[in-house]
Amino acid sequence: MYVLRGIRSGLDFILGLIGGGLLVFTTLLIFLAVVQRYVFNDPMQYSFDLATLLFAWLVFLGLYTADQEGSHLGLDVFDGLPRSRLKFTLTIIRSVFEILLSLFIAWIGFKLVQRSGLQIPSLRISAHWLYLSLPIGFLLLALSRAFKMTEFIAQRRR
Amino acid sequence: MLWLEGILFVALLLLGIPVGLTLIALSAFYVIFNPSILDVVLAQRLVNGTQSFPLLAVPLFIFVGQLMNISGVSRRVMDFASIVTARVWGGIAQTNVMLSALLAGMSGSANGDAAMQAKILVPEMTRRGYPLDFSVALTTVTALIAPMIPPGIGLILFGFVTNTSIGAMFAGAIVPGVMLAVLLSLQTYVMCRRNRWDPPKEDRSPQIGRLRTFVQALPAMILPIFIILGIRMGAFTPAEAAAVAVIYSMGCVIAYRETNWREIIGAIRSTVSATAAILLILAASAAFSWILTYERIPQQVAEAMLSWTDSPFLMLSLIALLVLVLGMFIEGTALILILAPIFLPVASALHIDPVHYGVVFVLMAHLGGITPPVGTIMFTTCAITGLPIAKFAKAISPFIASYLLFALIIIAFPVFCLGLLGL
Repeated sequence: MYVLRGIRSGLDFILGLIGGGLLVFTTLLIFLAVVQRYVFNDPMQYSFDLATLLFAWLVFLGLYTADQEGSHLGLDVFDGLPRSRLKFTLTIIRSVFEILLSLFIAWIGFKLVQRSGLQIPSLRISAHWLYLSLPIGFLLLALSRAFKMTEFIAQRRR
Repeated sequence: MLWLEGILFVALLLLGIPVGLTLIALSAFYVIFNPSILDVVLAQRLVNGTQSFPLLAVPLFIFVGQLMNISGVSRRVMDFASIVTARVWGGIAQTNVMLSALLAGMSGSANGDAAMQAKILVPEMTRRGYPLDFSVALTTVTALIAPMIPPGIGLILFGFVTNTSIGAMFAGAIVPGVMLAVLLSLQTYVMCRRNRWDPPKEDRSPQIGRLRTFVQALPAMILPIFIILGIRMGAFTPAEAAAVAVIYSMGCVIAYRETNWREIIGAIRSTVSATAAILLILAASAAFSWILTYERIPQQVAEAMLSWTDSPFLMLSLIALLVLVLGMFIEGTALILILAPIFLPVASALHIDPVHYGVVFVLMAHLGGITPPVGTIMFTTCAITGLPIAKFAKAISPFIASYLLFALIIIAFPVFCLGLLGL
């Protein structure tokens, strides 16, 4: 359990750092594009495409952080119920469903990466770099749900 | 097939699956049982749902809110608001309303703002003799002002999903937002005067002190004006205005020197987390609405609704009612992303201006946040103040009644939304 917690907090730290870095970099990129346009009269052609590419990574990598912080929006009808076998069973069903769904999306995401042969014109890089954000993000989400489920079962045993 | 999807939608939501994942599950279910559709199309739709430059305004404006909250400017705005409202009935209650309106431009989330006011203002109101249920109800309802004042995230999302200009949405919502603040202020005045809560006080602070408080509060108050002017005059796109606003907020953080690195990192992390949560729903609804379009659902909904009435007023009222009822169970942001495009053909067929439709939609979508059984803002304020939900429900009723009356006025008189658009 200690090893699992170590992995979880390590991953949490690294993904927080990457997500934060992406946010700050994207902000500076867009701000610089405004400065370039008005001050230097030299628009940055690639800033739109680069910013939206980074945005996809910010969103899909952020799924892990959002899940760890409980930020995903949904109804929590049975979370307030007292501890019972029913609550335990429903929580496990929910977690397993979310893990399987996330793995399915990661799987079709990888298929998309393999199939896409387009290029992002202004950046001159393959669209793989864009589409790869989806399967990686959902794999991490599946991992986050698995961590939470393991912890829930361990707590129940204690 | 579609009725199965309906059952699955309700079952998954009740099971506690997040709204975004629920929509993805419905799309996956449809794709799996329709061999004519390639499953990679679903993956492509999910990624493409995030690929819009104006959408970058969402995380950046959330970031602005987070930075301004830790900068210390909120306290300065509160000092200014309490000086302005000291000489009227219900001074601190009026401060509560005014604070929500003045801080709207730097509002990270309605929940966060309500939590902050519930922690700071409600104990002070209780100390001055206001009943707890009134204080909590007022703090909760004033959280609905911020989404109507630029740069409300709901306005940006509505603009994106319905292909309406975000600048026009901002300009269309600001008058109703200010009117809502004035209405709540009037209602508070009447209730305080009738119950003799918090009588007017003589303001003995020196003129120069009042002026200094005003100047210190100014950075937060000019932000919405700067954003609207920047976008409407064509100087910036919404995302660029948001990036400039982030740099401006960072300037406030540095100038006031009231925060530390730990809080700044916390603000960045909260922004990443909130962005992912909102954009998951958006990406999922982009994929799901493609399926709805494939099944011609918006057209069928439009035909059914248009057969009922062809009066724009009645139709907009009907849409508002549907959004109100659904908003009691589903979060406002999710409602905007899922339902706004579905009802758009109905509004277009009756020549309802998309900005008018959007302002009414956003106004009604957020009301669910303060109503039982699953109002998230309601839960936040009740949990912080320890007020039972039953007492809250009774205290909030007069405010909800006024809010609904206000919505009817906005529906009946589009000029309040469209008046600024021609400027």
